[in-house]
Amino acid sequence: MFAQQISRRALIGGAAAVGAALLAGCGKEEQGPSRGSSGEGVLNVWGALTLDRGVGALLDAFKKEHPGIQVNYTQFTNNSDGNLKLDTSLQGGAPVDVFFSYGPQSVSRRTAAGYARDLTDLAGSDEVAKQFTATDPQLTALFDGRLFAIPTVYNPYLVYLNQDMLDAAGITVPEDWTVQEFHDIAEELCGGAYAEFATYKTLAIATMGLGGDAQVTPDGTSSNFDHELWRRQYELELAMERDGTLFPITRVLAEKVDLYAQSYFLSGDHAFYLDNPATLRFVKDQENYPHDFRTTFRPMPYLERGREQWNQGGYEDSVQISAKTKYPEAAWTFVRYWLGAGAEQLLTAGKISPAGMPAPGAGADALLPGLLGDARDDLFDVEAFTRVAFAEDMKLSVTTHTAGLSEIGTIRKSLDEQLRLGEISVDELLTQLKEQADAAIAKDLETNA
Amino acid sequence: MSVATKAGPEPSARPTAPAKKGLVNGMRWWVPWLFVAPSLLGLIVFLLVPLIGGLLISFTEWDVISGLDGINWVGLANFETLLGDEQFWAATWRTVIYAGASVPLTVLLGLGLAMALNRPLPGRAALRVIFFLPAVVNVIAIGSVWLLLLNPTSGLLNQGLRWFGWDSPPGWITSPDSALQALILMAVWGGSGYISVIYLAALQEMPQELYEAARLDGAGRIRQFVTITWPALLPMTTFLTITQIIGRSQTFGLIAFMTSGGPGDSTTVLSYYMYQNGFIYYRFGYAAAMGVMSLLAVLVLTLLLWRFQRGRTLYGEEDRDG
Repeated sequence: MFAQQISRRALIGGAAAVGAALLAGCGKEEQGPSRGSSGEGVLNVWGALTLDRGVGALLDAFKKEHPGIQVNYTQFTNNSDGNLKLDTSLQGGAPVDVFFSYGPQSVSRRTAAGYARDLTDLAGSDEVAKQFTATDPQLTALFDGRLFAIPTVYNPYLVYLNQDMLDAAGITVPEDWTVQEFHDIAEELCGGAYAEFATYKTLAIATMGLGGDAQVTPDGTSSNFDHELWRRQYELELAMERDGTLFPITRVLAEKVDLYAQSYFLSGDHAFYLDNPATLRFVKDQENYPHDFRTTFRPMPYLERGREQWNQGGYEDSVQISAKTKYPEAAWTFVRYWLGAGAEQLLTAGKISPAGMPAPGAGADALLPGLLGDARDDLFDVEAFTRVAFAEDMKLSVTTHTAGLSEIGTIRKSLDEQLRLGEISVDELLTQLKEQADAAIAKDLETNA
Repeated sequence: MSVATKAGPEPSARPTAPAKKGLVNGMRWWVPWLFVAPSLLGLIVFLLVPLIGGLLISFTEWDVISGLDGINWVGLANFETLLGDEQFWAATWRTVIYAGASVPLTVLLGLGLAMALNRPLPGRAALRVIFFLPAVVNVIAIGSVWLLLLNPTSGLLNQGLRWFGWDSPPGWITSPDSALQALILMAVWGGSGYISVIYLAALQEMPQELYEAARLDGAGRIRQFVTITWPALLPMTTFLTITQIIGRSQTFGLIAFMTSGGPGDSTTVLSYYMYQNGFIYYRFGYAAAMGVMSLLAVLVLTLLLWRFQRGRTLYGEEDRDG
């Protein structure tokens, strides 16, 4: 019979051969000769911003200015599935010429895999991008001193405050308020029933004190969770959870709030909202978030009054040019446009390009219509926004060590939930966090050695 | 009147053509293969190749993004690491609890529903559709409804429990003590309708003469169930139990949507831990090793269940073999 003529072993062998052939088909594509020019080419661009958040307008404007460059924009969701989709496209040889990497781990992974073009020389000759090649101050991650990803967004963390609520409570928030004052005011507002809860998020005290690499020791080989600022951070969080100033974890879990909690602030239930300028788009959206109070702004509270500290925000949404692109010059034209002339279109989404930053001492008037909308005087304390968002002493965080970063994020989330639910103490959290994070870093360093 | 009959030659009298060399049933050996080729090809491409691929990847360290150049053959290292990975064993234990509780409950409830529906009832067809609905509704839609139902303060479930006098009902997905129980509850609710439809089909094929004979012998309803219905349904029950165990061991969507493995790690079952390692930490070799372990565990369990039901059915092996 047939089974005698084609044995099971032969069948499995054949399947393995087919598998190997399919896998081989997914191998890295050799880089072809460059085509096009700075004004001509076909670009496949992958980004997470949706077309309605200014990207559509940017692409239209780019097309008018550079008719010889055709841009095909693919929107991916910035989560694990979306990022894997981009990664497998990069790996499998799908046409990707320009892509955005969100977060240091994504930048590092794609750069280490060799999918990004070295942009150091190009950036060095560009007025806006050259600041990212510097090491003092270092504004973004460099790899052996070379730049492979250019941040497109200036993304500081700000405290959004309900001005009307503060006025009703008779509270004046100092410009240089401290962490203790942040907590005291939160208690006062909740105690006086002005707010249901003061805030959805607590303060990233360790990052404020240590910068973007707060989770690791300076050499990046072990975790830093035995630093006293981590204890201070978790003690504050637990205290706020217990005294009811922090939005309770049971509601976070039950209502699946995750990242976006602006609706609690805009409904007047919360007094503060800690976020980057991306939230401005919700504040000015009176259709979906109708509210009648003004939003004012303060800097992140200080660990110590008068002492310089880090802002937990950073230069983000990094753009990379694929090492495989056949149109490197056209890709650079596009990147420069996104950073420069096209950046105006993205202000509506709260995305401020490093190129659009006002010069020291100058006003930010040109940015305000896009960022704050037409009803800005009714909805915002415009002067406070300008003062806080573009403060001259703003020192944005930079993350340079990425070993174990994703796993540490998962570990922190898990232990943080247990702490806030009263399952473990701060001591237990810190002990477990240190142990598990050390293991995650060691595992990652060993794998990538 | 004569009737002319046209009688063909007796079959035995038909001249037998000599079998040609290389022909099977008068066909070239590869002709039947052509008929099964589409199915076989699908099986090879979509089942065998991924299976072998997954097995091979389990012996490697691979982050996908580095391509084939980035594959490091590490032999059994992933399996060795797994043996010492506390989180892996904790996730495995949670999977055992999740499947161990939800599968029997789902099957029993499904059987109960089927028996209730296997009799003349007003609106029986509508009830069948209602019970089957969870099997066809999108998991996100189901999850969204359950989020509302399980809300510890405003949810319908806890309001009901309070009405019955339970002052501090479970926090469900907001508590590490009850989150897995909430998922078990959802799994039972979502799976029993499907089970009931399968059971119902089996019940309606049951030979009624057995029941009549049993009644004549004075057997009551329970006796009839124990001696006729249950043994007759045992092969079906085994099949449903096995497929449910396989399904539960792969549960992902509901957990990803409802709890993301939390609070803490309380709902990080094996499939979710696999996802974390593969898709979040980019440790595909390690995740594949977990997949292989999971596959072996389910295989062993399936064989055990299959062995268990042999000889316990209404129609034993001997009967079936004639």
